[in-house]
Amino acid sequence: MWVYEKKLLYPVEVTTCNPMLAKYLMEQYGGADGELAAALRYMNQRYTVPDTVIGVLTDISTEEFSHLEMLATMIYKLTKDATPEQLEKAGLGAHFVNHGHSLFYNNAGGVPFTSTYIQSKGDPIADLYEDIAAEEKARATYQWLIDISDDPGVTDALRFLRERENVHSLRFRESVEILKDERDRKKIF
Amino acid sequence: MNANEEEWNMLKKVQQADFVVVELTLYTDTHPNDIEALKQWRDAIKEASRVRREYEARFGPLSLLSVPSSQALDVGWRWSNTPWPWQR
Amino acid sequence: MDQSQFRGTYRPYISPRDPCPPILVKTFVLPPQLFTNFQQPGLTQNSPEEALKQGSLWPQLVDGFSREEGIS
Ligand SMILES: [Fe+2]
Repeated sequence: MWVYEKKLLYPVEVTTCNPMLAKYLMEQYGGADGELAAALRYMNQRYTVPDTVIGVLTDISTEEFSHLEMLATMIYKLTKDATPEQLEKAGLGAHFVNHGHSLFYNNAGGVPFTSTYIQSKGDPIADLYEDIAAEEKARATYQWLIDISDDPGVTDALRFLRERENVHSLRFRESVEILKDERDRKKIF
Repeated sequence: MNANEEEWNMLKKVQQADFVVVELTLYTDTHPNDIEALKQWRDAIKEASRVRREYEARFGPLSLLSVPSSQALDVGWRWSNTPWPWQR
Repeated sequence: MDQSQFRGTYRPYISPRDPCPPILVKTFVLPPQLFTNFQQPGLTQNSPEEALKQGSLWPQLVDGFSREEGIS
């Protein structure tokens, strides 16, 4: 089970009313390499990996949910009091008529989230290599978001999140090394 | 410094202490035999709960694993009170 | 932070018929984790304050990224 913590992983400060930036951030909210996909991917793979790497998948998945909450906070703040006209100008008119001011698991292009964004092969190496790739793709997405962000507080939070992908990628690479250590060892149980 | 700013800063201390725990947890997941790191991880958890207690004594529990003081309840603190993290 | 050790560059082919002003050298990211398949014990650490700010307890895993770099 999980226990809710009434705080964000990282203090997010948003200073602009900026629905256009919110639309772009949705790529990491409900997109293919976004935080929801990451959290669900690892949380689901953990049941069928060797015991030595269950901890990594569980703990990184849990952290991804805290990243999802940071993204939600940014999108919420950037659109909170925006008028329908402002939303429409930002390309969120179609979002508005379906969802009002609420958030939704769409990518930046408005495509709804699908579980086809994630994989689970039941083969530990295939799964871990997917996870490493996912972290590098999330890192790249954060780079392009940083390049396009015009809110200093959002840019700062994105920079933090990008760096977390580096660390996660390394932990998954280490997990591969841990599994390689199992090779050919004649074990006495 | 107004009350809101003070709370923000104290919460940041909790976020800093908790982040060290997050990092060392992931590290020890893949380095279960690094005795030095395990010791530091233990100390980091202690430090995080100390900083958390400091915050919670002033502003109330951050999670349902913390015991709310009776004064907190007397002055109207409730778990469901605002602000929620995304509202701050 | 010396970022250059975590960046690569290449010179793309340039045609006289390219419509946008050509960028002669393209830069891409080679993040720190590519060079450490397994983190060594005992690396130098950031203070808790600096760790949260940078996004990692270990400065060696931080390469940073900003628009000013002009990668894209
Ligand atoms: Fe991640």
